[in-house]
Amino acid sequence: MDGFPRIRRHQRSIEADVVIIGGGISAAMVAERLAETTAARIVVVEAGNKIFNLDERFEHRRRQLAYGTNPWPGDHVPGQTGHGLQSRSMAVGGQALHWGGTTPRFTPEDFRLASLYGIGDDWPFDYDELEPFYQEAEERIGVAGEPGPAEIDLRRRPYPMPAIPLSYTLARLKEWAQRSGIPFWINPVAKTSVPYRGRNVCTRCDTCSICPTGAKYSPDFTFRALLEAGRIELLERTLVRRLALADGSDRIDHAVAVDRDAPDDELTLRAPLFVLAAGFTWSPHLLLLSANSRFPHGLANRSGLLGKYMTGHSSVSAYAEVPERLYPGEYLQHSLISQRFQRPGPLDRYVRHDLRVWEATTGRQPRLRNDDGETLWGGAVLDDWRDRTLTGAARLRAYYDVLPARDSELALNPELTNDWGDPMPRVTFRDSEQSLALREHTLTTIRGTLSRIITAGGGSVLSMGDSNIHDHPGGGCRAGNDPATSVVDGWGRAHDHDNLFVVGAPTVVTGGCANGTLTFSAMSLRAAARIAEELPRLEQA
Amino acid sequence: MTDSDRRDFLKKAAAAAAALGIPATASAGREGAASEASPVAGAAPGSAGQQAVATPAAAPAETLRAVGGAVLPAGALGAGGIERVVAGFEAWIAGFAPVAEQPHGYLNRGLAEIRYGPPHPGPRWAAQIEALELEANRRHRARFAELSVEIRRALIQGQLERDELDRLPGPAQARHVALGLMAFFYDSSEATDLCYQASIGQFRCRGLSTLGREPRPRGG
Repeated sequence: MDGFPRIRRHQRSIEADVVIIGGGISAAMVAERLAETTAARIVVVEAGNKIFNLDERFEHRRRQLAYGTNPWPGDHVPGQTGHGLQSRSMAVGGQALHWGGTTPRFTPEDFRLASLYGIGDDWPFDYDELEPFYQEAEERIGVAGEPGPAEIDLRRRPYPMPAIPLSYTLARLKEWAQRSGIPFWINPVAKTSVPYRGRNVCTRCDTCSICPTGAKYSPDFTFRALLEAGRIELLERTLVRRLALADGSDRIDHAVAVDRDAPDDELTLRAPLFVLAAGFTWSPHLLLLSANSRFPHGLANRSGLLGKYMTGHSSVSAYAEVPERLYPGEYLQHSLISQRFQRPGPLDRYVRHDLRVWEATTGRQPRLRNDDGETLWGGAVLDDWRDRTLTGAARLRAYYDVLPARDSELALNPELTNDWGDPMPRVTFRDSEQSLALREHTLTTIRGTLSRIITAGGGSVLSMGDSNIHDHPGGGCRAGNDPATSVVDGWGRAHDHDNLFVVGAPTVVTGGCANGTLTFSAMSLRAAARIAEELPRLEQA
Repeated sequence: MTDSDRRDFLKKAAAAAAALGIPATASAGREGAASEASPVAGAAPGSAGQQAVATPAAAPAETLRAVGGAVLPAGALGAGGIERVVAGFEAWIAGFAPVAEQPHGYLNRGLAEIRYGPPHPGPRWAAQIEALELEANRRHRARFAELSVEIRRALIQGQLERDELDRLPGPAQARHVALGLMAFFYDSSEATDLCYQASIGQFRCRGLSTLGREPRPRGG
């Protein structure tokens, strides 16, 4: 731009007691807890849009069903993308705007893999330390569930709401699956079975990615309530591009952001405490972008482990014919869970996984050509369809944990930049040697278990396959007690910066073998309890 | 075809296309070819039904309903069922937004690009409807709607020759209007209930109170 007059920029500075970067479920948990327990001035910064449009969601749902369109228009930031992301969603509410709402807890074994099985690493805290925050997360989010068998399910208090009842079809499938001797129970979900904190009761619209009634929890509800109560300031459409250190100190002094509606202005956010709650991608990404002369490889990265140990879980799925008349479509999103194999006891060789069962229509969709190759028209299509629905189908899936390699990483990709010239992330998942060595044993064991369930119920396997996609990803800011082998401590505080906390998915050690959102939320609440100790107390206000 | 006939046809075609929610295409009619068979449902060769179809000014809306009568389960849908489904399909077409943003998938690998849906299928489908009408006229000297169900199916099948018929595509992905109409119907809650002969009510927001009971027989 040499030779052109420089654009005169407005400078804007915002000060707070704590700045929370990110507007997803982890940020919502932290913001709500801090709002309730401190007198702090809380600023939440989110790069995406604020989509407080509950009254429009029936129409967006209708269009998704009719046309397959995105029911969350405007839920991403153009150009803010990367390789290996799980989703482009970036908005107030984050990916939990369109999550399925499944909320199992991890089990005690997840936190002590090294101690119990001699593989991977222990977490810096155990299940018992996290358990009260699991309960708190379930209450804040509003989880409906039923406890599993006492020897498997260690919860200390009831779910906040009774479980969503089983559909007729799912009740039949429970009986069918339990003929294997494996216990199944109702999968816990962040959906209302009874009126709960102003939310409507679930009406099983069965489009949980866009819940039109508000029965499914999404973090926009929390942010809206906090805004209406005047307890937070929310800066949406504001992308934090750098964290900057105080002179001569390792403390974070301020964040440099861009207001997408005034991109030529300079926006500075100052606070004595910063909470990075931007998910598994954008949290380590921001710290890498914030490299400076003292931290040339990124903030919080003296260990060299920032962006490393990216993790998740992989899966084996099966579709089965079930020798019963079933009615798929009653509630496709509803499911059964078993955590029997997450708590396997002593093992000769390590393998742990969850189990889920859903209704399915596999092999039972309408078709235009019958098994003899004849083209079907008119009533013949319906007759053929009916003939194939005299028996039912089920979908089964097992998530198994994979142990991340050190170089399972998020790195900056200079070949891909956003609208502001910042390099975008490239995430490359890699399993550890231990995990790779266990893979065939894991797959063989799980396939055997799935086959056993299917055949014990008199069914037959229609198909079976495995996926190496790392679902419910996390990592990149791994938690641990040793600053040499982790990025943050057990509370999420960066080892290298005592006024910087990272919360939620980035801090997990492993991805466990169950959906991670509740665990991310519980960890965020646990971090918030520690953060609150450093903020103005309520009675001081 | 006189200029007046042509203007009348184009006017009707445009109106029908508008009803379909699609741009009017250059759907000028052409004189038909000689009849090859007795085409009209219940009509003998040379009957009035055959003689009455010399004009190519058949409205696409009528043709679309005749397609529906050939490919949808008329008996199961009951009286007025075809009309109801076809009218719903027309409304679906009218509401179609081309190249609309798709839901963000679970990606995990590769670049997380925003995906967009297909272009508007309407112009292609309108051309196919016109082609069915033209072929009916050329082969059978009849309007498509006047042909027997079997002959209508044969004409549709002829246009589908190169299509993969093993499974129904999504409506918007259907290359042929007949497949689009079938996909639209078989995607519906009504179709599922007809298949299972039970009131399942898929994708209808319907509360939890009846969740544990076996769905009632349809209409029960």
